Amino acid sequence: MPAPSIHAVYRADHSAIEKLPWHLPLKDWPEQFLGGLPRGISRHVVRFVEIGDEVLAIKETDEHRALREFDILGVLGNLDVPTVEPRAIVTDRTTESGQPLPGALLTAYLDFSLPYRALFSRSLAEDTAGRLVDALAVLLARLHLVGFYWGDVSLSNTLFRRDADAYAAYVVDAETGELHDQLSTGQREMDLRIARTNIAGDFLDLQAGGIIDPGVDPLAASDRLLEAYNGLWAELTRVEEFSINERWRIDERIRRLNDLGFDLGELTVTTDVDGVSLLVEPKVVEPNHHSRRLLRLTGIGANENQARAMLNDLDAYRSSAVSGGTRLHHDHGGEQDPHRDSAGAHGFGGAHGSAGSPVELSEDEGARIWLAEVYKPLIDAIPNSLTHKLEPAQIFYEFAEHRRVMSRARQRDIPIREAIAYFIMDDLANLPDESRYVDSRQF
Amino acid sequence: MSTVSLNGLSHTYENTVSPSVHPFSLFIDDGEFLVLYGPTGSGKSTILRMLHGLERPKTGSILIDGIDVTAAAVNDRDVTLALESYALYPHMSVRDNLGFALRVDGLPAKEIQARVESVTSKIGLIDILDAKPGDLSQLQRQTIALARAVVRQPKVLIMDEPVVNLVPEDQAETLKLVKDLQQEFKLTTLYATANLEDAKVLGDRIAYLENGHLIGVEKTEVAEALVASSSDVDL
Repeated sequence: MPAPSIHAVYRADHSAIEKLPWHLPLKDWPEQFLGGLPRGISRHVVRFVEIGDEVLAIKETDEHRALREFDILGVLGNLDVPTVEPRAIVTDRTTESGQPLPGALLTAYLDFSLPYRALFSRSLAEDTAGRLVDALAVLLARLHLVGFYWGDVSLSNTLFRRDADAYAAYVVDAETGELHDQLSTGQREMDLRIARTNIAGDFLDLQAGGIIDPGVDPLAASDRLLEAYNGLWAELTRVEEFSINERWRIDERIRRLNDLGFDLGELTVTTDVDGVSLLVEPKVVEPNHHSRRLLRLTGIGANENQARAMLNDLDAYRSSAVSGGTRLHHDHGGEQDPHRDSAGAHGFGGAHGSAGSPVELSEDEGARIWLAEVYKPLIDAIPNSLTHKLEPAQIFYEFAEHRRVMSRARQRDIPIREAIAYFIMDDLANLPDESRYVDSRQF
Repeated sequence: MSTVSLNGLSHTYENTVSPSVHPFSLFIDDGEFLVLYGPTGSGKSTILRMLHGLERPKTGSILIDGIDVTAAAVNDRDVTLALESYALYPHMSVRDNLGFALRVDGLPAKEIQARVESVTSKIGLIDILDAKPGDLSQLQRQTIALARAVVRQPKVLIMDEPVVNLVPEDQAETLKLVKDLQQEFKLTTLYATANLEDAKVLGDRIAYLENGHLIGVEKTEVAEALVASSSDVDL
């Protein structure tokens, strides 16, 4: 029996992949190799295996498609599009008797990701459907910006990570996709048409399975995707005409893009023939405005809304702290802290102000202290047994919310260590592990 | 059921010089099954994509029932790609898997029921309308996925090598199914394939393409001669 050909990326464990039973159809692999059952709807046989500290998803498909999808996922990753990472493709598989078997695509399991079906069983949050659809709309706009026509847009082909009170969406199946320099209007329209049908189907199926409230309107959910996408796409791409005296509106446009989580990389401004109007068109827009700023300031990797929440906290902390001689009270338990005010300004939207004339910390200095005084104490306090519950950035967000609710209920600021203790005990410990959700028997 | 006129149609991909499809004209009659046959890169998929609205032609026009749709939006053409949506939903019955897209399109429930029952009765699925996909064979699932395009009753049905990834036994069954569906419902159909045997099984006529040129269009019975003689054609 000839050995199969394995083409793996540098970081994949080549020898461990080689040892898998490639001579067997994937559906017949013994349980000893498997790390879980497939999730959601798939045209193909999909299984999970655990290799070292990584879980890999294996999809059995024909060799040509496996190779194509491997390449597409790699390019999308290089373009900084949220997607699962390809690890290897396996070709030239045969059974022990020499019968040919399909190829296989191996992708890395996306830690802390959840399929949409699981989110409905785990979240009591209102409007989960709307949040998922909004996340998918952002993903689709990002894909279209880089020239990717998906061809099978659906919630089933997407994984979701928590992103503060929203979700971040990731491409998990690019099999039908195509990469172009730029998409035609027809390609974008087709993706939206497919999305509208598939999303309605995804939700109708959840209703048929009794997983979501019969009151959810599947058609409204799919229409919401179109609305969210079209609004975002217009903001990202449309040409605006201003009077030559309204240059300030360029700043407004940039601010709106920032609010949507995008940076403007390049802008074309042209003057009309009469010299009275400006035509303004974004040429290069880059996502992750807040994530990049947070990473630059603190080194913390976070999704866009998590980063936005952390930056708000950091900014609140910085504006409430002072550099220089004013000594302020501290909320850790009696020690004095030069960076906190007596009202307990500690980030998390805490109260501001201090005596005298405070001098605001520089952004870098504020970030350094916030990291040491606010973020790290929380993350360091999480017991190892609970680190699989949520990503650190989401832990921070949930903690901040928890502390805010506590403060409101008790009508006082809650010192950070007390808040951490309550958060871990009352909130985090009761959450399900979400780092690896690979068993979907219940679905 | 509809006619399709492709008039002087050509296409060139962005950042390329050589046309992917050289100017050609073709008329597809109401209810006809036309196979676009040619090797990879011959332009057959690009022709389907222009008809579908994914690609804008460089020259020429596309008329469906005499109406120019060359610049029409995807949703305004009434062209459906078979297997446009692949997924069969596990909790939904066969009936709902077939009908939900019609619901999205805004059809009334009675109309949806009538169409679903009409299609399934003709292809032997009426007895399993209340079954779930998990209870069905691979072939039955494939049938439902194909039938989903038919219940939409598009003016034009297009298929781009829908069997290429199936195992040989399923390929034969699916081809038969495609042929039966098309004959039963007389949908104007364009089907792209690189397999001459498949083309011969399916088409009323075969349009042979090579390197973006339409070499000729012949009734299926004589298409093989056309293909054989194509080596004499100066492209």
